[in-house]
Amino acid sequence: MTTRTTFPQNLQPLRELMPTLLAHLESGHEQDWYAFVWLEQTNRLGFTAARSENTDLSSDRGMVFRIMANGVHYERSTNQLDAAHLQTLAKAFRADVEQQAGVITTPAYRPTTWADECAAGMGAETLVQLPEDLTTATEVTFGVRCTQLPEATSMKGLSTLARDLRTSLQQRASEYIAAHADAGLQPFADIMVMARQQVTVNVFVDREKNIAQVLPTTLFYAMAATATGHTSREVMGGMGGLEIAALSEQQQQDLIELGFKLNQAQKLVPGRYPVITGPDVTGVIAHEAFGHTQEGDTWMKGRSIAKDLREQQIRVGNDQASIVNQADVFAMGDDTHGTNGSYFFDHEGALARPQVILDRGHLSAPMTDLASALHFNAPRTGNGKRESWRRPLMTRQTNTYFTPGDQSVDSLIGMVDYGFLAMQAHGGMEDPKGGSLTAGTSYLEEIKDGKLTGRLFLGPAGGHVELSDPVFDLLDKIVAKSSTNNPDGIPENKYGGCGKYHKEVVSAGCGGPFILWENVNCG
Amino acid sequence: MSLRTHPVVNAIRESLVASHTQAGDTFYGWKLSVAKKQLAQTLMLGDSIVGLKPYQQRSVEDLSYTLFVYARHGEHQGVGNITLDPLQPFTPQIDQAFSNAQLASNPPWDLAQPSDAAYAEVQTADPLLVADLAGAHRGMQQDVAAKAATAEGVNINSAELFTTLTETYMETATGISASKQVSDIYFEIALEKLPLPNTEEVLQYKKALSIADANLGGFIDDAIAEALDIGKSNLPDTQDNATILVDKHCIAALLEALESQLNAQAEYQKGPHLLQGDLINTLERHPDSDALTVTLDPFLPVMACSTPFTGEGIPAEKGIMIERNVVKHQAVDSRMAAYLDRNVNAVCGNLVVSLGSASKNELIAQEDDCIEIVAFSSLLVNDSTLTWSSEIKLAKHYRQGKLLGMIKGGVVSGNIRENFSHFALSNESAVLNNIADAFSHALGYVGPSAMLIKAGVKIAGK
Repeated sequence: MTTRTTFPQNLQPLRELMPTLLAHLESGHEQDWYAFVWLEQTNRLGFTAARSENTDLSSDRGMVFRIMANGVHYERSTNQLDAAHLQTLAKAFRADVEQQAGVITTPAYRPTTWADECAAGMGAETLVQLPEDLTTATEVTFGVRCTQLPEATSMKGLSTLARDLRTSLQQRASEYIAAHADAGLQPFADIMVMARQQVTVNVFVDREKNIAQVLPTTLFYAMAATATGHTSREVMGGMGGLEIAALSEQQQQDLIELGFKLNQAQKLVPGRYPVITGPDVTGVIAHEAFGHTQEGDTWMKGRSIAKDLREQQIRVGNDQASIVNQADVFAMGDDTHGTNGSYFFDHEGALARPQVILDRGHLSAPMTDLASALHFNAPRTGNGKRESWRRPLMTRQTNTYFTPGDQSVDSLIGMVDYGFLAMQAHGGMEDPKGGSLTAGTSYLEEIKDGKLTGRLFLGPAGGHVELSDPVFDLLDKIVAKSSTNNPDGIPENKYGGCGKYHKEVVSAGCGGPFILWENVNCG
Repeated sequence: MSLRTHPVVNAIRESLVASHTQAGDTFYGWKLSVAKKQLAQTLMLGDSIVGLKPYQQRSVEDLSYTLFVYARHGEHQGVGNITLDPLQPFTPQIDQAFSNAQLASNPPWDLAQPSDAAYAEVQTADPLLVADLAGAHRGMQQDVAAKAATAEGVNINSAELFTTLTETYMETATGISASKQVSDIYFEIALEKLPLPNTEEVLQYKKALSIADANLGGFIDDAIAEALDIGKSNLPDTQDNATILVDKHCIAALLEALESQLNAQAEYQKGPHLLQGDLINTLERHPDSDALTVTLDPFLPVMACSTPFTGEGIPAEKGIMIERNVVKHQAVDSRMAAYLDRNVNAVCGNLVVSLGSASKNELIAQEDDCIEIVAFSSLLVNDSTLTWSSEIKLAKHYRQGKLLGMIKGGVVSGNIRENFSHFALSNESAVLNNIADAFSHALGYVGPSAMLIKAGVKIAGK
């Protein structure tokens, strides 16, 4: 049975103050300006069971005032949230913008109304939570369905979860060493298990809407580290309660065996090979391939090759090359929970709606935040995000995935004479202007004559392996994709994060099916 | 107002003393860390008339209180950290941190004690930013816009300018009390060579603690020069033992990973680590190779790792960590000293690396075949395996000092301890400051502007 997360009472006084603060910002300027007020709170609880045990309890809360005037988005942010200070700050900010913006020459943005939103349609999880008789003053709260509500999570509970799993993994490692006594295996340097839960609450208030969302994410991370520095890992994480924090018997066994095997892995001879990527690595390719390139602010700055390609209707991949960005992923693959890149509305109050950013090799219009949507007169797609209230807002991806295909994983493996399976992502980077891409994988598993051999390979220098090719070449080399059991057609998306170039870290899920690529440069 | 005497800090201190007294010996100690930040942030678009035009203009005020409570329970010690909410009563929050601390079971260690020695005077902030952050930010913004407006031969796509002033204060139950003020500047610019359309963009970023060190005008000139230098590029050949030349960013990243294995914590974790007397090179050192000497120096003015005190509040010390490829010291804090039965030291700070004997151009000229990496797509350095790799975003291919052409694509990878078996450092000095962020720790570097690596590098290309 599932229950939705609810709005925390400690934030209710601030929520009730926000319309007043909005009035301080824009009252009398509605014809010239557009303003909103944003509140965020992130509470985090974590326990690490390892050679050094650690607890973590943090709460971060801040408010952003936005005034858009003459095409410039002015913002003032603070975490000093007493009512008197906020009112003083809002008034002072308004006065500053009046001085800086000068005579208004750019038409003011008119925010979308509830009627506009309903006419445009919205996801089922969003729609079902809308009260009837919506007005501009209606406080709407969107919650996520959880089996175990986060209010019930305690540090004690997390410590028990983490320690129990660590003990189980240590036991399995001892048994594995005993069962392979002739192999001379060395014990792991450490086995670490981290259990963490975070609840983020956002409130957005502009002249048309007063909306909030309560987003719980849970992460269960287990890692075995060898004395030579190699690590194997299993990550269970996503949007939901502690029900996510479980590793199956098979996952535990795989983690231990992988750790020992990595110590004996060979070094890859650099070259081009057929590669099958699992959802983790597939997701990184989706995110890096035409994810960043399709971010509206990157288009707006003239920094993306995608704008010209779309305008010239140049195809950039084969029939299998379809990528979706979707914020409202609350179930995927075989899982009933969503991923950590999910939300109901973005950090500028735009409701989440899925967008096909690459459709069988054809590029769509970009994902947008408010600034880039206005710049291109393009639809708002709900991709305005910021690292936190401390940082600027940019166009960012939510959950990016390749659409599924029609093959089984075994049949994909059966198509490979000699090649590799890449299961564990290890970073990635895009060049939106140059069209190159690199996706890392911690290791490769050999495929020979249509079967996995169990032999592992590290990079040529003994580290991770980089898969690297020009994006267009890569997307033209998709041979086949695996299918999904999800009736909505959303494949498995992994817990993840993203930096824009090298900073501004945000939550971002990514995933997709197993994909067989014809040949990829591996080094 | 000083953070030490800030009313909220006074209230936290009073609550801590009361909780400590009430809980008895199990409440072993605490450390309070307060950070007050003022930030100005501007995102800009290239503009043919004014050079750079802001489209997002922000200012931020941030005052945060982080508390660490140490509990000794039975044979164990634990720490519970919590960010304190100033709008809620402190005692229940402290009790929660104390309760959490009792859930963590680690071997005990003694907390750092106040030192008899005074903290050194170290300049960690630019007086111009301390005096008027908003005004200084506006001035830099105007300067970069004016500079961009006069750029020739390139199209400026965008830029970002972030300016931050941070005042930190720490206080412990053992009587340590220390504060410092740190300024930092982040600037990035993206541009491309004319005519458009173009698929070769230059994205460069500069991090500095002072306006003078940032030298944004000179930085933009360098970025323009790099863009104008770009020509037609090819994939590199696949090579099992390539010779490459890397810049200060790469040298600093490799040394940062190496330095992490000189921290006693790496030894305690039983993963890869280096001990006093160990050689850093794993292959036999080539007779022609330079030898590496690295000093940590916390006292250099306005650098990213300059500080009067360590994270524990002990007066910082300067020390040689590696001398001619041999490890001289580990970094040992109070906890690791107790765990490994070592003496505490407070050696920390910026990486200062000895120079080589030849210029960058001489290093290139002496090689039959050499690839100068201008930009990595994303250099990932693994501080456990001490391996690294990246796609090549842009490189120059030289043969006997003569430029053959540009390279783009392919993967270059290496093993740091093999790299330091055969290498040569340039005799030109360079400075690098990386400000800590969600991706990386703070890093200060003073040392060679370039390094030739002749061992342990592989390239996957054609």
